[in-house]
Order: sequence, then C-alpha cells, then structure tokens
Amino acid sequence: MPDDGKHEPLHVALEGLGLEVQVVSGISLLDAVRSAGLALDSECGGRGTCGECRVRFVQGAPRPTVEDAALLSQEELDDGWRLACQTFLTADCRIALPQRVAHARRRKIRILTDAAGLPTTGRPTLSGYGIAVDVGTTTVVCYLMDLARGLQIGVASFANPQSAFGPDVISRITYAHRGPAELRELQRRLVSHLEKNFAALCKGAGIALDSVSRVTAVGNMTMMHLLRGVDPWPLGVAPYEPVFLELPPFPARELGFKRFAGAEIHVLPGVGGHVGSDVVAGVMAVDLTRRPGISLYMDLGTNGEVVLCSRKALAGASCAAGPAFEGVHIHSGMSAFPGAIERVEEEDGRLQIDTIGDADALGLCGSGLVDAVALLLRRGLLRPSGRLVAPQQVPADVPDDLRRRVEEDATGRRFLLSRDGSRGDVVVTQRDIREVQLAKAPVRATIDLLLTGAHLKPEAIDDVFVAGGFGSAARSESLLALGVVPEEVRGRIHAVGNTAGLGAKLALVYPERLAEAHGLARQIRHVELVLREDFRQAFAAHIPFPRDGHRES
Amino acid sequence: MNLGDLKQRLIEGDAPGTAALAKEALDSGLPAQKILNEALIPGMSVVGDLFEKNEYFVPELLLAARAMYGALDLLRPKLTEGDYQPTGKAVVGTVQGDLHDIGKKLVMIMLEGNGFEVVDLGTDVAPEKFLEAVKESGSRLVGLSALLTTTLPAMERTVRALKEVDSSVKVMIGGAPVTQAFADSIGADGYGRDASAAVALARQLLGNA
Repeated sequence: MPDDGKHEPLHVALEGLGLEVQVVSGISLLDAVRSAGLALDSECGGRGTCGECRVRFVQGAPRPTVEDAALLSQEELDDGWRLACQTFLTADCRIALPQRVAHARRRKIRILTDAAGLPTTGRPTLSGYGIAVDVGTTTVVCYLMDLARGLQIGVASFANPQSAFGPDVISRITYAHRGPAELRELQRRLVSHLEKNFAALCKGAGIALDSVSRVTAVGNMTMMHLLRGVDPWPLGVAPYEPVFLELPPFPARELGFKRFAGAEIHVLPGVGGHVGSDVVAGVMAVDLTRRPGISLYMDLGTNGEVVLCSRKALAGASCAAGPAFEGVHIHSGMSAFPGAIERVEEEDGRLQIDTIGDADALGLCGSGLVDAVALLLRRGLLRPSGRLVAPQQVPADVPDDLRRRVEEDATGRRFLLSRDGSRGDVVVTQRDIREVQLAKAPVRATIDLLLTGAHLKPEAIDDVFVAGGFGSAARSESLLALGVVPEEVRGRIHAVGNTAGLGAKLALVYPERLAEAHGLARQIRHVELVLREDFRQAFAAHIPFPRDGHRES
Repeated sequence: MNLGDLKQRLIEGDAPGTAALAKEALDSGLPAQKILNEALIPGMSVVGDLFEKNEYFVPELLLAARAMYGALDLLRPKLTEGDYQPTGKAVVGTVQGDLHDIGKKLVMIMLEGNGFEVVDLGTDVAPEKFLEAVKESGSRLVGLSALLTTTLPAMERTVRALKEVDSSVKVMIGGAPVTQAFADSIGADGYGRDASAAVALARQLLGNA
C-alpha cells in the first residue's frame, strides 16, 4: 500500500441496514463488518478457506483473490461476491450482507429454556443474590438467582463477543496465543459483557448491585481458560491438555470487574482434555451418578462430549464433531436463529418444514439438517454410503412432492427444501451430507469406545441424556436414523436442554452441589481418544449411515 | 487377460477380486510394470476423480486403497526384480502438535496409487524427524499436513528446518486451514487442496509432470 502521508478513513456502506462504518485503510472487510457489531461468521477464522464470510459488493468490488476464485463461482464473482476475510480495504465501498446476518442483528438470540425453579430436595442455606453463568463458545447465558429462596429472578443472554475472533475454540486458542494483549482482549470483551448484563439483570429485578455476592461459571475448557485469562494454548496442540482443571474461588475484581468487584466467583471444575466444567455441571444436574443402571450423557455441538456412567465406571471423552451440527460449513446452513429450518418431515407424502419463529425459511440449522438427512435415508434418496441418488434413480414409491426435489446439475446432487426464500433456495447438497458424516462418525466412535472400555454392549444402556442446543432440538428418531447413537437405545433417549446452565444454578444456590461438582470432576476418568488406533478405525467404520431398516437401491 | 476388469475391481474396492485378477495377470506373463501402469494407477486416478466429485467418500477410498495395496504386494517382488523406477519418493507426516491423520492418509494413498514410494512418519511429527527421514530415504519431496490452525506455526517451523538443511528439497503442504497464500508466506513449494491435487503437485515439484 503506498503511503501518501494521509490517513483518511475509508467508508464502508452496509446496504439495506442504513449503516456506514469508518475504518482505516488496509483492514479486512471481515473486521470492518464486525466492527459494526454484526456477526459475520468465519468458520476458518479468516483464512479464506471456508467461504462463510462471503459478502456482495454493490460498489467498489476489488479484483478477486485466489481464495475468492477457489470458493466462489464465476457467476458469483461477476455479481460482486467476495470473501470478506480476504478483502483488504483500500477504497470506499458499498456492500450487501447475506440475509441471515442482517436478520441475526435485529433479532434476539434464542436461548434454551429450562425450569426457573430448581429440582432439589434440600433447602437453600445462603442469602442475598447470585448469578450463574454458562459461558458457551457461541452464546453466554446469565441467570440471576435469589439465593435464599432458590428462585431464578432474571435471565440474560448475549452472543459471546469473542466470536469476532473465530467461531470455534481452536480459532480462539490461536488468537489468544498471539500474545498477552490478545489474550487479555478476549478476556476483557467477555468480562465487560458479563458486567453489563449482570447490571441489567439487577436493574430489572430491582436489587442493588452489591447484593450479588456469589457467582458460579461453567464452560468448556477453553472458555474456562479465557475467562480466567490463562493462555489455553496447550489445549490446541497435542496432547491437548488444559493448564488447570480446578480453580480456588476468587473475587470478581481479579477478572477486571469494576462493579460486582467483591462478588466471589466459583468456576466449576473440568475433567481433562476438552471435557470442561459445562459437562461436569450437566452430569451433576441430571443426577447421572444417582441413577440406577447405565446411563450416557452427551453434549452435542462442534465438540461432542460423552460421559458414560455405570456402577463400575464413570468415564468421559470429547471429540471434534465438526461444525455441521451447528449449521456451519453447510451450504444453506445457519445458526439456530429465527428463519432457520429446525424440523423436516414427511406428512401425507408432502415435505413439511418448520422454522424457528415460524419465519420465512432463510437456511438450515443442525436439527433441521439431521431431520432432512434422516428423511432422505428413509426414502432411499440417500444411500447408506452417503451418496445422494440422481433424479432418475429415485425409487418408484417416492411421492411426487419429494421426487421433484431431487436435483442434479454440474455442481452436483442436492435436495431442495424450500424454494426462493428471501435468501434463495434452501437445499441439502451432497457436500453437506459429507459434512454430516464427518460430524456424526466421531461422536458414535466415542460412544463405542467408552462402552468397549467398560466392557458394555449398547443394549446395556438404560438412559441417554442429550444436552446442548443441537442435542436438545434434534429428534431422537433422526439421531437414531443417522447412527449418531446406537439403534439399541431407541426409546431411552431424553433431550434435557441446557443442563450446563442448570448445574451452574444448582452449584450457585447449594454449596453442597458445588462440592459435589468438584467430587464428580475428579471421579470422571478422562479418556483421550484421538491418539488411539481403535478410535480411528471406529471413526472410519461409522462414516456410512446405518443400513438397518433402510433400502439400498 | 483384460486389465480393464482389474482396474474396475480396484475402483469398486473389491480387494479379493483385485488380488485374484492381479495374480491372474502376472501368471499370464504380463510384466508387473505394465499391470501397475495400465490398471492400478489409472484405477486409482478414477477413484481420485470420484472422490473429488463427492461421489466417493472416505470409506470408498479406503476400500479401494486396501484393494490397491493387496495387488501391490503381489506385484512388488516382480517390480524390484526388473528395472522398475517409482514415479518418485516422498516423505509425509502430520506436523508437530497435530494428531489428525485422515487427510495425510488420503494423500499417501493417492501418491502410492500413482506409483510413488512413500515414507509415512505418522502424526505429531517433530521437524527433526522429517529431516532424518529425508536423509535416510533420499527423498527430494516432503508432504506436510495440519488440521488445526494451532499447528500452522509448527508447519512453518518444519518448512524452515527442511529448507535450512537443503533448500532444494521440495515441500508441499495441505490440510483444512492451509491456503496457497499461507504456503507462499512460509516458503513452501506448493499447496494441494486435496489428495488428487497433491499428486499433480508432487509430479510437478519433482519435474516429471
């Protein structure tokens, strides 16, 4: 870039939003858009490999880069589409964002609901107020609790502000490791949002800020490290170990809180590897170890975590499930925002789709995606190998409404879910199916290996608790059809919602439950799978879908 | 003896069928080199194409690989008897800090399916291990794989270490977080988007495209 001695700001106009941002020359368009407070996804963390951050230039489109050309069609390039992360601004421009980004800004993020009261037998012994925090990689939820009555009196949630530095834990770890300033920035962003939301909760409930004396926090291992300001780098490189599992309680001021500075923060303990305190809290909340028989606890998201509990064994493992279950890396994929197709089924020979908020279909989130794949398998439109059939191969008994949705052109095969929404067609492509296969195989391999390690067969499992946003929204029928869980657990699957948040609340109100969480974290044996050859084999073996009950055409 | 049938068995991942036809071909007096060049290599190249078009996926590719290795085991003694020269030699591995091996494995399969001799160092491979393997094998080509963005710095360190010792050794890199721009920035000689691209790149880097 020539240095002409002037540092005039550039203007980026965001079409349709009535927004304009001023930025310095040379910054990436992705950063520019994010500086406007818009959550433009970048699965690859701005490396130009995922194509998530595509935007359309209305004016001032730069020459396409190598990365643009690799991920966008000629038609798209001609229309002005570029990857925001690979576009470094040198002139004013006007851009249009994909519809889902524009929508996400205007609407509140849906949070998982759970009971306001707490399922417990004991009586609260504390007094005053406390806040339980569930730090998700994507969404953070804060619950204001009346400690004396054990009642929830307020809830607030916000998108994790660290998302601007990458959507997943690996990209956050990479960013945090750039240096102390970057690590501090990740912590500061989270803490300042927490502080703001804590204050809003108190205001809403009409209580004084200094009446909040106790805070509990849960999260995956990376979130635990970033909250405490500890470089999570060892979690990002083999053998993927955390720096700490437990922390003694500390006053909020140590994290940089100005208000609430004296509130005591208890970060719940983790198990090991990437199995963090959200899993411990969840296992505690569903009383896994108090149940008779053999149970599985699973939290499904970009990372899958599985805990197996029997009288003889308590073991937990995590696996990289790939981002498909979160709607990421999927052609029409989106997060679980209004407009996302969350259910797909067949009724009287016709395709039925339900969207979050009954809005127009903008895209597909994880639960809708697995429903769609299950339907395709059931109807023989998708072979167990994961190959979509061609339009001329559709089995004779497939109803017309489904038949005409099977499409193929030069880009490959796909299945049409919704035509001509405001964001164009919503489809499931052959590539999406491959992403689903890569997401479900490691989860199933993890279950298999935990069972093998405990000398148990799948039919021995009495209960399966499925937690997490995707896990709770996905239908058990679809999880079975895809082979995410073994067929033997049919009828024993329970969607349990946000158990991590529930566990944080329990530990907040009842000190003995906090002590219990510490006991559990030590009891659960962490099983590291990625090193193991039998995991690789199980992974490969579970890439195809189950054949049982489905036809091979 | 019809080598087309052998090629087809390989594409379909039929290991017993591939082995039986390879044996039949050898018994009928066909040179091993001819069987390799006219059935196995073109067969694996079809498999690579199908994979690229999303028609084949990891399981199909692994099945084809198993069939290929079975046939190669039969051919190898005959190949070494003659004046057979492999297409090239390569050392491959996943860089230090990264334990993911499936991408590297696919590259290895496609290289071997194209007549390369490959030394596989596995995963979490330190730069020194790559140096050692290059020295021992005499290979002029190294392939580095990484799945996590956290291990990209290890990739850079490995490229630097290799180039310091011998700048004429060619290094190609690949993996989900890797781009051409990244390859350029760390001084790698090439970047392959997928296993098929890696083969073309390997040929080009060794000057026998």
